Amino acid sequence: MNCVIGLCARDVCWPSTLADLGYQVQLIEQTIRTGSGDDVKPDMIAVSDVLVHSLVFECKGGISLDAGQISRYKGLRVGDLTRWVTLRTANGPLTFDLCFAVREETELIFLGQTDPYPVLSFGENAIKKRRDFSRTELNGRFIEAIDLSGMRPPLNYYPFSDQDKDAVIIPRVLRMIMQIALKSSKGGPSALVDSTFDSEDILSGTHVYWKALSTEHRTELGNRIRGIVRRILASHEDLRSQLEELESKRGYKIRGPLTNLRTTMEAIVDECEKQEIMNRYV
Amino acid sequence: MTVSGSSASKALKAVRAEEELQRSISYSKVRIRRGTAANYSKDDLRYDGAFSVKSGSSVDDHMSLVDETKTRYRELVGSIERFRLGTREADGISRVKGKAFNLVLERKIQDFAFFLNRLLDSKEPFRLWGLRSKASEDYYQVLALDMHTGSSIDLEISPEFIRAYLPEEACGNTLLRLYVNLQHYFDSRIRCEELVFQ
Repeated sequence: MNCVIGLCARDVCWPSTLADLGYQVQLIEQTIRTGSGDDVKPDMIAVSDVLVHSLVFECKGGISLDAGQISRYKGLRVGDLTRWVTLRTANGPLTFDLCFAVREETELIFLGQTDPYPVLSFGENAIKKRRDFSRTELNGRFIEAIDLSGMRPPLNYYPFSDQDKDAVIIPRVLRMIMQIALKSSKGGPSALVDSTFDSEDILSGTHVYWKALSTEHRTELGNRIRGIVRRILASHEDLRSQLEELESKRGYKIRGPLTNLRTTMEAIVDECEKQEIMNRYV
Repeated sequence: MTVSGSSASKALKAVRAEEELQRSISYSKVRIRRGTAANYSKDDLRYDGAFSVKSGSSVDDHMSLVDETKTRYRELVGSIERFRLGTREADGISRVKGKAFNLVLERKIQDFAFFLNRLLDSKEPFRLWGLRSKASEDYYQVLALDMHTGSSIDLEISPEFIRAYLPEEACGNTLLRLYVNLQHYFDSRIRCEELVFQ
């Protein structure tokens, strides 16, 4: 998802292939009712005022499509999109393509499942297009594979989803705990109290697009985050006592706990990453 | 090193002739004289925004310099905040907005451990605290907190550039301080693609 959003931005060390054609990301995870009465929830929708065209993206980090996804998308018409996207030009009419963004290693699996829709395959070294878009301008940009040598993928546009593994979510949860503990010493709620994490305001700090996420996704993420906080605080007494120390500090005398907390939290992240690697072999 | 008068232009010429020097030397302060020959204010303006009046008797000229600097700073912070990541509501629909800041370094980061420890030690000048993780051989992801404001900032750090993402609740000042401190303490030729100075 980050790699696709990056194509619509103009960042150093990442191709701006879609931004060059005027595409800007407008919607993330917006549920859209199709003309045939089904609901689809694309990961993101980018719109180009220049081409008067919209790209509806399904980004697949896993290895399979949701059951019935393709048949639901077959009912998607341009009229279903016009309510949601904004065009800053009167030159119409709007057209769109559904596009699947996949990892290179899963390309073959998805090519079989996504016919006739175009697929962008993201590898270590290149981005390749499989099957054509409806617009020649877009196809022209992907005639040759886009070389990624020397490029650095953006990692922080879209922080995480409820489908991501703990190793992706935990660092952001730890930073949120730290942020709460720092504010607690200035009168905010405590990071050591469970009910602090019931607040939507607090949870939204973990995800820049929180407000754009569906209610179900926010609920799922909230449950996931609360579970992670409870588990970490219950199993890391050292973290708990360092947070207590930080929350009790006033003024500027907080350096000692800050360094210790960084070391402890990085060790937790490290431990979790190692566990994920172990899980792959179990 | 402080130089003034005709020595200042000679020193500047010498620095401009040496590319290596340009990356290592940055302005600590500039001296500004405003007003008339008889009624003026001569101020030092430091890179961190501190003013000190060196000579002169015109309070008005001093105050107008402070006001103008504040106005320009506010405008710059405002222009940064337009890039913050977040959502905007229109017709009951939440649309996403914002993009990363790209800080391009001329002086490459060679010792990541040292650089990251210094950047994230919560102390002056950077005042950042953060969790780092290695994304690849020489590419790090950092989830940081600005100890000055308490807001978050995400960073991606490679030897030749730093990508920075500000969330909606962050102040543009967080990015500007990072930029100025990197310019002052690491690479005076750093440039930010998204910042436009007038």
